[in-house]
Amino acid sequence: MRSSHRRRFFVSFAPKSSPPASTCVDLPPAAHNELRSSANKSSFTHTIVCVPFIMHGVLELGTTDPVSEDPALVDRITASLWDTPPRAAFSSEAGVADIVVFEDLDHGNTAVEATTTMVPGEPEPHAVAGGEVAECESNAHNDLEQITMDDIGELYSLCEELDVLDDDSSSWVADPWSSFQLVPTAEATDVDDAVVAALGAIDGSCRPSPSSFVAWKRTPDSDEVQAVPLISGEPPQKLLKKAVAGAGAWMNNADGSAATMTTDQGSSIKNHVMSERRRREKLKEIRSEFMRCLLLQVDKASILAETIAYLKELEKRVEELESSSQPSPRPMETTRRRCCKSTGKKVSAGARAKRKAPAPEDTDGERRHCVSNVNVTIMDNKELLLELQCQWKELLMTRVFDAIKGVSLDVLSVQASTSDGLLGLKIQAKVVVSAAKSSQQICSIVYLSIYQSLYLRLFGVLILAILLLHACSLPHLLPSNLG
Amino acid sequence: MEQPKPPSVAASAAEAQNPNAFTCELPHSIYALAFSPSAPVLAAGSFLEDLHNRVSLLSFDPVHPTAASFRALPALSFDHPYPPTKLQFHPRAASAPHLLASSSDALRLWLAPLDDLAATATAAAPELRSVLDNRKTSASEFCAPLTSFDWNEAEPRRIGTASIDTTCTIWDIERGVVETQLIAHDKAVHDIAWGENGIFASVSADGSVRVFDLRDKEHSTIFYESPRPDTPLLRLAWNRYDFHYMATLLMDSSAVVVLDMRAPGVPVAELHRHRACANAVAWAPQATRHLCSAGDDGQALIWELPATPGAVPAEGIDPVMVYDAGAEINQLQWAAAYPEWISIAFENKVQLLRV
Repeated sequence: MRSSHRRRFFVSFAPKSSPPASTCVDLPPAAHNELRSSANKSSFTHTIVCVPFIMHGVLELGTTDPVSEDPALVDRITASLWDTPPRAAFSSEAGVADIVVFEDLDHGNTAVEATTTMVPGEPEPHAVAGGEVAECESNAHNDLEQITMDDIGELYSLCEELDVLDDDSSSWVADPWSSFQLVPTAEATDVDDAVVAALGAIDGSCRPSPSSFVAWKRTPDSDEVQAVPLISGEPPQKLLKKAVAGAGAWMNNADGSAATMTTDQGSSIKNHVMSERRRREKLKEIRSEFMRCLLLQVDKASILAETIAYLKELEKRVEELESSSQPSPRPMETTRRRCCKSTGKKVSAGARAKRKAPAPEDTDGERRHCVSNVNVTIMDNKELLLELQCQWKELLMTRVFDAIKGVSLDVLSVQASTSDGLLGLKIQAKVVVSAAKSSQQICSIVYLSIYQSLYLRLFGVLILAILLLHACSLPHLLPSNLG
Repeated sequence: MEQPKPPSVAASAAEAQNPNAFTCELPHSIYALAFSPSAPVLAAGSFLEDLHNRVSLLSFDPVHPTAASFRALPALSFDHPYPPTKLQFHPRAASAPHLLASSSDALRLWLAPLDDLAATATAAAPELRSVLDNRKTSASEFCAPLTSFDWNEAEPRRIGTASIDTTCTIWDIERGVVETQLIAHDKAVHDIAWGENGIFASVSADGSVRVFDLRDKEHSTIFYESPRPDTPLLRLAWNRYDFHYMATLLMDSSAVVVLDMRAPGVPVAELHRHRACANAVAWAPQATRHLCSAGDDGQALIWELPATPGAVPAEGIDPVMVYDAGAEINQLQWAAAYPEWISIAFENKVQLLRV
């Protein structure tokens, strides 16, 4: 650490031709001035003492600090210099005064520069540097050249004593022959001490809490070894991917598991959604069935097969309705009257009389007008032949066959023909009725219709028959119950 | 200093060899972690792909830590429906109630009694304060799961949630209503992070980082798009000490991409020293250019970014520090309340690491 107040001590050596025996020589004023001017190269230099050396010059001690007069110190310095013979050799430069500068350092670090040279104006002539050095060396008994580093060290210790002395007053007296005392000033090293303490602690201390982490090092060989076992077990970023996918909440919600209040609400919403879905499915089924019904198929074979199936279905429905329903008296009467009239005029006397008696006269007359030609012939083995010719109109065939069922006849054969809007129908039947034969007869009817190109009309009749059966199937079936 | 250990060494052996790492084992696999800003408590959420999950509260001593002081508080654990994708405490340390938020099928706020940890034997379990659910407002049949959320530190009444239905929802938790809802991306939103002054950013399965401003809800800025087309971005971390920096993770990638808000589109650096896929990233809470990442290679790496973006070396940045956990690290937390501690989760363990 450098002191903020640096002190310098200047020592200049000027060669002087004087008798060596003399201990004190008065210098000429001019020479004295020259010495001082050459010594004061730096500013604020104060001369403490001038000590003349007999052979080669004068030793002048100075300082940059204010000094006070102290004769005792001057005497000590003078005695020290004269007692020790100089033994050191100094190199010199021509025309330049030699300055010995002591830098005051607290730690004892001393930088010393010492050179000697001949002062201009002296009686001795100047010589080259090498020559001058040789001249100095050849002069064995030269006292000035015998000054050693020990002398300089001793001088420095004397300077240190100046620091200890107290300073009562500070003044400069411009008398070359008077004595002065060096007074040191106190130095503040608080900041430096703090910094030094901190820096010192840095060197000696270590972190009180070491880290869990260690310094990273590049280990390419171990990379290959370590990477495999860590990765092989699981897919990369396993939990992170699951977290960003919703942490399974979506799937669990879809499953419908419920534990919290909000999830219960979701569950009720889900039930509603399911019920709505079922309703939509039902509507879809109904719609598809309706569309299928609406489609008309032009293929004859398809029409035939569908017609056969339809007729069988209708037959089953008729039987079910017959077995399950209980008719009321009045509809039965109405149906029976209609059946009686439709069978026409020519019947056996007994049958005609029995059926005609309860009928009103007005209804009978109206029916006779509608029916243009009806013949009934009774043959052997209880067979009868029914011949019908009348104006074609809707529901005629349905009525004919309903009447046949009503009278418990077993149809054996049917012949149908049409021309100019008239229907010609020839039916051969027995009195006893059975389900199997009825079906057979129905099929025969269908075949005959096809042969005579009546299939389109028959199909229309059948469709209308469906509607009729839905609305009036009960009244039409009542006569068979009576039979 | 100890050298990185081979992966075959068990975690307990690793703990024995590293006196500055403290481990707490829990009954289930752990994913979500959260530091409390006002108490030495760490919340850990289990990850069971089931309806029944559990959140545990762990206490630790940040000044004089010991293996015994880092332990679970059974009285303060509570059941949670579905695994929580994120946990976070109320960011204001001085808030009177200790609120803990969790996200799974909905955003839930829990009241955690952390005032007197010594009396855990008699303390009541954290109670469910409120459930913030979109179902009521939208009348839809399902509530899309939330992938993450972030609590606004500057304005703690705001929480932003990210959902797989491509929306980001800003909640006002004091009134329990939706403040605003934005269709943020084309695909699922995977993470959200608040910046400053009502600005937030989000990452998505469409591979983009977008920045939104609540003062201008009509527009958003695409700050980054993943180099491979349609590679999803999984996580996002915004540097809270220096809001210029963000970090994001790509799916099936070991890189940590560091972005600078002042230079959108081009990443500042891509950190490539993980030997397997990266799972988590967090910025140092009290440093500008430090971040920590963890991945499937079982390593937690601490990185230091160069002072200027141009000073990134061609061969890439090496991490400064490393910690080897011995198993895939799934979660990482570096909290501002305890800047010298990092918490990681792997398997069924939670570890505290001193930085």
